[in-house]
Amino acid sequence: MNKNLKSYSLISISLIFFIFLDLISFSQTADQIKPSLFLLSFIYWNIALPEKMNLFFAFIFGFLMDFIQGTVLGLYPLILVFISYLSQRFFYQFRPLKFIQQALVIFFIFIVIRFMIAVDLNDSNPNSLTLADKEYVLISIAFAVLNALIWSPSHYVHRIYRRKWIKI
Amino acid sequence: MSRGDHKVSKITSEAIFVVRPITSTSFLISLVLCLSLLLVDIKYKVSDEIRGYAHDVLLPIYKTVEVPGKFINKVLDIWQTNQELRKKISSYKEDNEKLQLINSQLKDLTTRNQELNLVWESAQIDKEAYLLGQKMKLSSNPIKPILILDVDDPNSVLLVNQPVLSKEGIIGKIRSVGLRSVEVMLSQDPQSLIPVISSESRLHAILKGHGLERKGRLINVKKTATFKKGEELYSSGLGKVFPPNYLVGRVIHVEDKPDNEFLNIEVEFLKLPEEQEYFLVFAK
Repeated sequence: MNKNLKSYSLISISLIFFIFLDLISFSQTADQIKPSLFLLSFIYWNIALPEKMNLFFAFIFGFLMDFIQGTVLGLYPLILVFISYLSQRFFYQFRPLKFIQQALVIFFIFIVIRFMIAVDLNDSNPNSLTLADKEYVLISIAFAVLNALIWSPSHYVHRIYRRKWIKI
Repeated sequence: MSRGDHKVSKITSEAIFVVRPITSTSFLISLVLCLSLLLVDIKYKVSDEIRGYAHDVLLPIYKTVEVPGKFINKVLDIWQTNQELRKKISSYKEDNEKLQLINSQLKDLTTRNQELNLVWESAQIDKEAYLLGQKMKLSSNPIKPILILDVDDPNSVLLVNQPVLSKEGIIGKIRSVGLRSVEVMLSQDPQSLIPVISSESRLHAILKGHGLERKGRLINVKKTATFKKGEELYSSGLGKVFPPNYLVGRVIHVEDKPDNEFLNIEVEFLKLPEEQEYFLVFAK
């Protein structure tokens, strides 16, 4: 098999696997704060193999996420395009950071993602630009903290997978 | 390495083998594309036409995801002793007898109501009017809660805006239809508006959602209205989307704020039954 095609397939398989894991449902509150393993995986691949991650990944997986999450079509592709660009623009600066510093960056990325999702695109609430309330902010912080904490083990697992299967 | 894969240092003229990130041009084109898609979808609701079919494609994924949970439940079931099961059966029998008693009372009440020609219409006890849908997925997005149902009935006529009911009452309406999957907009969705009538004061209002696990609000209610805390809200049937007389929620807070020209009335929606596997689609 073509080397590039093999790498794309292996990256896609890992992303689909994490979408599967994200779809597993617990209680309603737990579902709202459980870490998004798919997004962590997407960030990892953009940082670890930027030359293999093009914008097609952002669009295809973005549309998939839009359908799964019920968001307006184009919102997740927009988020993933931003993540791709920022990750690939700053991966040289990001890679040498300590895990605690990386976790802090991840925390801010996920907070921003949650607020992007909360933008009132359908104008459901004419008095405000966002649908976020106090409870949503607290849940978003918990969600971002959990993602930041999971980043390190997720990075480790991804690295093992990459070294075992993906040859550059 | 082909030409263009690396930069050249202006000082030493040596090659700098850096990976070229996504170019600003392709990033900008993608950005414009995404924003155009967003605008088109917001204005023309294009995605509502295809979401149902997308869920048809994703149905195997939703079903596969359920496998580990079902397996764990199965193992736990096997672990239960016979004694526990017997105890359960006896308690179920008791419950069943109680339910039968309540049911007979309800039947009696329904008959009386029909006689008085007050609320219940024949459609409500017409079994053909309901389609059974199996829950596939309940979205965790608190601001855009959706429920995906699998209605495996080849003779069914599924249409957008058909109401969806749990065993307690109305929980939403169909937003998108596929071959056998439907996407349900839950009553908690900020875009959801349900015309309701209160049980005691018999006042009409419109109930608006504010997100999953959040209180709904009755909108544009004048300060002279006499809604009471604790009274139940039923669908009024106005607008002809939701059938009348189904439970939707309960008033939990009524506040008259001096700086607001309307009353602030908070409503608790029906609890989303997480364990409930099947829902009814009102197809008439």
